[in-house]
Amino acid sequence: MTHPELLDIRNLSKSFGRNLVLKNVSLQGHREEILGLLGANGAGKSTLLRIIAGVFGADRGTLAIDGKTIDFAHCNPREAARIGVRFVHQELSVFANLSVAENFVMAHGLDKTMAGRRLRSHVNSAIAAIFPNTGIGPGAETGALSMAERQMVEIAIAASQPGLRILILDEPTAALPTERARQLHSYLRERKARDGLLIIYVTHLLDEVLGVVDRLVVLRDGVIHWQGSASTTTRAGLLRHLGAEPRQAPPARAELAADPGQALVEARLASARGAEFRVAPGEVVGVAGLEGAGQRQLLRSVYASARDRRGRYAVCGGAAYVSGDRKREAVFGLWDVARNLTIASLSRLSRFGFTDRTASLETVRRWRQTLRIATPSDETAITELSGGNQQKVVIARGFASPASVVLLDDPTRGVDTQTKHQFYELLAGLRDETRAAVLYSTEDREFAYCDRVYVMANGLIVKELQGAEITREAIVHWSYGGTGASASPDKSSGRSTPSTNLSAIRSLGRRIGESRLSLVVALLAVVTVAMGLTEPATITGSGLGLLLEPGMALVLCSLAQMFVITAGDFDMGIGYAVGLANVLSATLLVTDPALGLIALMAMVAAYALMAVVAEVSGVPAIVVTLGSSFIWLGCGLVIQEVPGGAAPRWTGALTTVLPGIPLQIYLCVALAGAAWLALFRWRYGIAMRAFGNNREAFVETGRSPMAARVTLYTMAGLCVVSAGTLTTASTMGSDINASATLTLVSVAAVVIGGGDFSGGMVNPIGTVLAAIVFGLLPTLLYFSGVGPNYQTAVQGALLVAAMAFRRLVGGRER
Amino acid sequence: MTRGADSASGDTPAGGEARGPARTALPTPGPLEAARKWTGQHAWVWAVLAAIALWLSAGLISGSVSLRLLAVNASLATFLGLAGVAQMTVIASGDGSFDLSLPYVITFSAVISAGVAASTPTGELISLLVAPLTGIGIGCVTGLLTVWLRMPAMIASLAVGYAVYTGVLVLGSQQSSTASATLGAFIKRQVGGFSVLLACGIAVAVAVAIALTRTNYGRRLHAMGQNRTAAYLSGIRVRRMVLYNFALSGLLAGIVGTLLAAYNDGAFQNMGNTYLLASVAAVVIGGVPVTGGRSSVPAAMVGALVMTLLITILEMSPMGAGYRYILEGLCMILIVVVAQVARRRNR
Repeated sequence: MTHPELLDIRNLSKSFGRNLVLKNVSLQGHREEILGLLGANGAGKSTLLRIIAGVFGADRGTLAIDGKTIDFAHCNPREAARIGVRFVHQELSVFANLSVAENFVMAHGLDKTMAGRRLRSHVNSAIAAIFPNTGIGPGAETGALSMAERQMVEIAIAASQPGLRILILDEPTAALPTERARQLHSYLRERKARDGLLIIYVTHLLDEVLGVVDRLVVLRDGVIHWQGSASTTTRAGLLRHLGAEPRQAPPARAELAADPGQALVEARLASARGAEFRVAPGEVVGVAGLEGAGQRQLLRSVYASARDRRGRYAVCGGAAYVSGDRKREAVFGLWDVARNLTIASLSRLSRFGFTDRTASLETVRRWRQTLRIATPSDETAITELSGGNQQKVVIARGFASPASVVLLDDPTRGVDTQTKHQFYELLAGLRDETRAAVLYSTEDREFAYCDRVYVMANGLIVKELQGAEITREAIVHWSYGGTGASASPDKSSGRSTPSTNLSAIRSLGRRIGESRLSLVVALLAVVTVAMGLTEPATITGSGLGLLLEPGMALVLCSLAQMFVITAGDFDMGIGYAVGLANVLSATLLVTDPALGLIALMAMVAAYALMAVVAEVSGVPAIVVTLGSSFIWLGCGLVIQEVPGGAAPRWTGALTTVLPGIPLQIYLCVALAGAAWLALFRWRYGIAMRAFGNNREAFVETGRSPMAARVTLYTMAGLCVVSAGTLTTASTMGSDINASATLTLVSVAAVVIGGGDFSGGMVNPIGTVLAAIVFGLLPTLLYFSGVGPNYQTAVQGALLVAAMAFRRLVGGRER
Repeated sequence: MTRGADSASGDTPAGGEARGPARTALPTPGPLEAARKWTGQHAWVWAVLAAIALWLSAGLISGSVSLRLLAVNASLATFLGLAGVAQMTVIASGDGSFDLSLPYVITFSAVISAGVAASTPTGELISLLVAPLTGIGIGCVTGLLTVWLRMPAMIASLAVGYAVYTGVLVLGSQQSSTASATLGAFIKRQVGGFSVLLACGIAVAVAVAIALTRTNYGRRLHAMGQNRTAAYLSGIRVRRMVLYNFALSGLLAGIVGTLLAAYNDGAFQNMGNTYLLASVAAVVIGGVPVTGGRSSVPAAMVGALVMTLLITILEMSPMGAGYRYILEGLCMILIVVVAQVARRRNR
């Protein structure tokens, strides 16, 4: 019997614009095989991988997995995962706000039976199967893990995919210590044999690839240049296959009049790392190496040093930065060509702070000519230009600026050959000036236009090449660490596994410090103790009950705000919404309970409707909720013009003060628990937090953003309605304006309770505790003799203190 | 689905070279196309049309179309217009920024202005200086909190607003509030049907408009509002700009407070409260996107006029306050949704 090949690629071609990235690639992958895929920068590796993983389709050719041809019109990563293809990117794609276990749930859609202890042991064994003794807890927040730990989680998620058949690993060991890399390799060998997997392994580390893979495939300029068995290949042979002559001779550059005395960029400390780096006027200096070897960090470091006039380098005359990542780092999408071009030159093109139009237009005209920017006019929106012409504007921006050093960060990414040549001419012309350029490129052949090239590997400069030494072979050679030298970087300095008791204690300490709950618990303790000291009677059960009673509405309202913040939004109308619910429950609910109930449910529906409006129209939620606040206020006034009303009789039960532990405390615990269950235990709750954290990745998992937002808003609506009813119960009446201040206080409670506007970062328990603190505050201030006037100041100070605490203790960047 | 499509359409795919030259070859756009483009860039014309429509319908309700009605409303709209401009400068800086301290700063500077005016013989003159300076100081504090503690602008301004409100309560309870009588009389004076108040407001607005459209500050603000990373890499000192920006917002709030105190012959506790929601509404109705990177002083001013006219008309109608608010809310949401959908179609 003959099986079809597990992976069968025939005559695959793919281009982006005019840039043909893959040309007629045919490749077979077998069961029980580890296939090493190699290639220099821009060889087409990641494009090929993305096609296999279903990220996008090819233009021509076929891809069949286990005999089934993939329809490129309907491919997506979710579908690919369903048929057993899993891709571990270089950019990690876990949801940072979710725990490790929750990321497993999001990735695999595990069913309900997989929860609690079973889920934890599933996650533990999935990780331990590859990396024993990591100490990564299933409950740990993924964003708080180190890069190596995150990488291990990501690999474990992919490898434990049910029905896995093809596993694609792109630079899996880049962030891993040596020991962990070894563990991964032995796991891969064992796993491919056990389950008949095809593993596609991409790496720049040649020694590593020779030790792991069965077969090697070298891509070069979008074609398969060479393939062969790993056992018969040597490192030197592989290097030969990877390197290549520059295709065309660059325009020769005249010898530079050496002037070693003066440098535009120089390290401040001769002994510091990267001190070799030096740039003289008139030079074009290249920074080469494999992608991610530290080139971009070097450029950024020089830029930051120039900006702040301190830092690692002394930069004479300032620096300008040209990024090839147009969308994220360069283009101002709302602006025309002229504004985009002159933004870095404003200090030169202005008088007394006023922009000088004539001078600006002159600059724009000159650069449109120099770089032949194809634009209908100066006033054309930059987004109407082609990618290449947009990039020309960005390049012109850098060179038009008065800065003496222009830092070029992959400036020709995704642009056509013609644009590239105009750019090279610009570089060649630079030598007449007193300025210099630093070029980092993902295309090694571009370094032929440089006077000198620094080659980097693993964050360090390993070689300086000059003049005729600058060849693609030399760059490739040194990028891989040079002759003889082992290609493995100084991984010994990487994190070792924390397994000792001491480090366990330390990590516990770190976790407490980083836990956003610790702050609010401390606050609550301080408030309670202070109350006990000033007025001992308050600490009794009935005393606490009375004190907590008015705060219960705030607790619920804060939970409602928390659900909205989970979606990454902000409810500006929540105070009046609670007010309206207060009015409804004190009027309609008393006179006509059925109608009252319908009206309250209509409010919940209105919350869902706000989500729909925001989602469909794309209008920011803050505007929708702001508009709604007028509607809530209006409805409240229509129903009840002046404060009054009465509480439905049954609500009296809500305010009962029991001896011992008051009802309110039970209620708080129950509410916090329910909200926690909804967001942290309910499957869909996990998905909703993922939605708030990373919308694009959420959509990629095949879930509906509309459903997530509507669900969150509906839960918020339910809390709002309950908050209003509780207000009625405790005040025995209603006033539409009485709850207006809740809008801002609820936000403060969510933030102090551990929430974050970055979305998906909320803590129901912390929120409830913070709301209790805010609820007790007026009484405490009263007891301690501070007038009620200072209440808002204390609230504001608490907010600032919470943020300062988080900045100082947490300190981690998100 | 919506946001994804949005962000995708903003970018040209890498290497999509055909588009540039193809555009140049297009025939000259027709007048309709040109008009559409112009209204796309100056979204506030819709607000102007809305204002005219509201004014005419006010005429219909009252029985006679009067310029005086427009003039009165334009004067009244001055406060909201300036508050809207303040809010707009913060919104334009991007990153989801809003100034939630605005109502408190307005009230606080009104209290300060009234207090100073009453305290010394030369107080009236000094108050003109002190209140706006107070606003600047508070704005700087908010700015420093966002820069140092990396607090989101919304939270920082919220916290500062809380603190300032305490200032209002403490100071407000200590002093008799009689504001600058001279200034009050001055801004209430009418010149040719329009009040001096409106003229003052327009003068301030013009100064801000010049700052936003003609200066390096304005350019940098709008760059930062579109893309903070790109702004940093273009040599803009983003953190310093955040500080300037809150200071400007504070200054404007201080001016509004001073004018309000003078106009009302004193300050009272919640005098600024309505300006939080209304200032955002004015910006939004004027057609300025709340996503940052754009601003238009006339838009915020006209947006404020629309809001004021809307309230006037609703007050003229026999319906109660409740229905008025409901209609206001509905109009606000409707206008923004329509503007947003239209903007997306235009792309």
